[in-house]
Amino acid sequence: MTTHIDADTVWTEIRHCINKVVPALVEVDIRPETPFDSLGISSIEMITIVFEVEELYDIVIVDAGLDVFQSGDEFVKLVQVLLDKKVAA
Amino acid sequence: MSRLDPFRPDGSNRVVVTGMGAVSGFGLGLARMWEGIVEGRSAIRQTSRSFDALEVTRPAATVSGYEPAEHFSNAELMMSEPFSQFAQIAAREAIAQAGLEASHLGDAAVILGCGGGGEQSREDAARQLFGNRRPRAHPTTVPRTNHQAAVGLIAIEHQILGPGFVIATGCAAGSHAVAQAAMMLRHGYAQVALTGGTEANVLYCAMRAFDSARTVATDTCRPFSKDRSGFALGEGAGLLVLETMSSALQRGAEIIGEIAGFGMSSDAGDTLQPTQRGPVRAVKTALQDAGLAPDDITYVSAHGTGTQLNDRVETRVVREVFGAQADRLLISSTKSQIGHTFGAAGGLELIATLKGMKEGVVPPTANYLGPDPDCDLDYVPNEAREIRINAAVKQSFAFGGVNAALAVRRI
Repeated sequence: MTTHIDADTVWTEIRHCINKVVPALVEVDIRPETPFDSLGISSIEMITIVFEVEELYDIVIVDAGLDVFQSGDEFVKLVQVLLDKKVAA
Repeated sequence: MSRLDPFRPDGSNRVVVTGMGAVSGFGLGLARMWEGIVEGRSAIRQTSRSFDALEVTRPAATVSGYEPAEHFSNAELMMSEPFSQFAQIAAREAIAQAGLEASHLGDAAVILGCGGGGEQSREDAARQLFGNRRPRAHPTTVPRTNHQAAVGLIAIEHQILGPGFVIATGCAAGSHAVAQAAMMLRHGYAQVALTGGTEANVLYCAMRAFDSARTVATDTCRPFSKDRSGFALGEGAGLLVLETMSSALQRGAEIIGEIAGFGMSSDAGDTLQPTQRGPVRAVKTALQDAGLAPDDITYVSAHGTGTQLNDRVETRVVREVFGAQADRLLISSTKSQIGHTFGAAGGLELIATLKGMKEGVVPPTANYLGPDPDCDLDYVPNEAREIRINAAVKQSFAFGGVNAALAVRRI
């Protein structure tokens, strides 16, 4: 399945959202495979990052019960799937 | 009762003030606020707030020179609104002045007044949900809007484990909080308490709402003056360290003054228009509780909103309570200088009163243009007055017809 936004672009956007919510992580080397729970991100910060991504792409993650990813690459795949569904709809 | 007797005649603890911190339209810190007060200045300016193309401009005293990032980390700012931040900053100053160490604070109480809580986040949520028609509010909306956020954040910062709560009686909340804290100290629920009030709602919605209620001044706040037209919004926090006389003496703390008595009442009349009987009952109760007679009082820190009705009724209240003594009383309204800070008003105005007691200066009523026939007392117009204050009363009245009065005494 191909997505209309490539994974690198989505990750870059997610990274911007992380930086916006947790400025302390701007200088931290976070790779897509880095587990989020290794970054010291609090639960409310994580919820806020997801919110920022929802707002950015106009997609629904939390209300669909999909906020169960552990790392950036899982998050990227989820966003890509939701964007594909959105385009298909 | 001797000057430093630790107990009241009924055997309960005497309660004294050992620290004060202020955030006001004059800026951060009690020193800035006091300087503005004694110089007779007003921090009220025409202030604009907007929503898209809609704009409202009204007189308000916002906290000048406040840079949140200088006082809090980004993570802290994400979780707090200005009303919490102001309370935290004022608490730091009050605790430092009192010389309290961590060992004194563990069992302390934190009892604050706050009228609106996180109005900024509520406004943001309204824009997001109704204006932008988005399905979700920002995840920090709830923790930021809670009135008790200010209490929680102070407790976290100073590791305070004692009782903590917020009293939300609008314009009287700060005075109610001080009364409640004093009551708890008297009866041993704590030895130290942080109390006072905080507010930050100089926002588009609040401006429009108070404007619709016909309470906001056209130009500035002129309490008890001819041509007065209402109040000016204000924001800030006024926090005090209260402790039992025993605790203060044991620590060798400098005592600023005594919370000698308090009184509370309800108008049981109207939710907007004040009665005379409600405030009279609160002030008389405060004097009785303090063991003070009307002629013991030098100064009354008025609620003094600057509305036609409040100032007329409040003048009658003073005349009824103080009788023939009313004509030698000094009465003024600090709202003419720092605006109406709602939940913070009781705290900030009590601090101004106690500072005046300590310095021998009565705060003025700024922006006073001349006498109004219905307001015929000495309102200390425009210039602070040097005079020794042995005892004073702070009175606060709120919509809903709820009233609180505090009687303070020099030690």
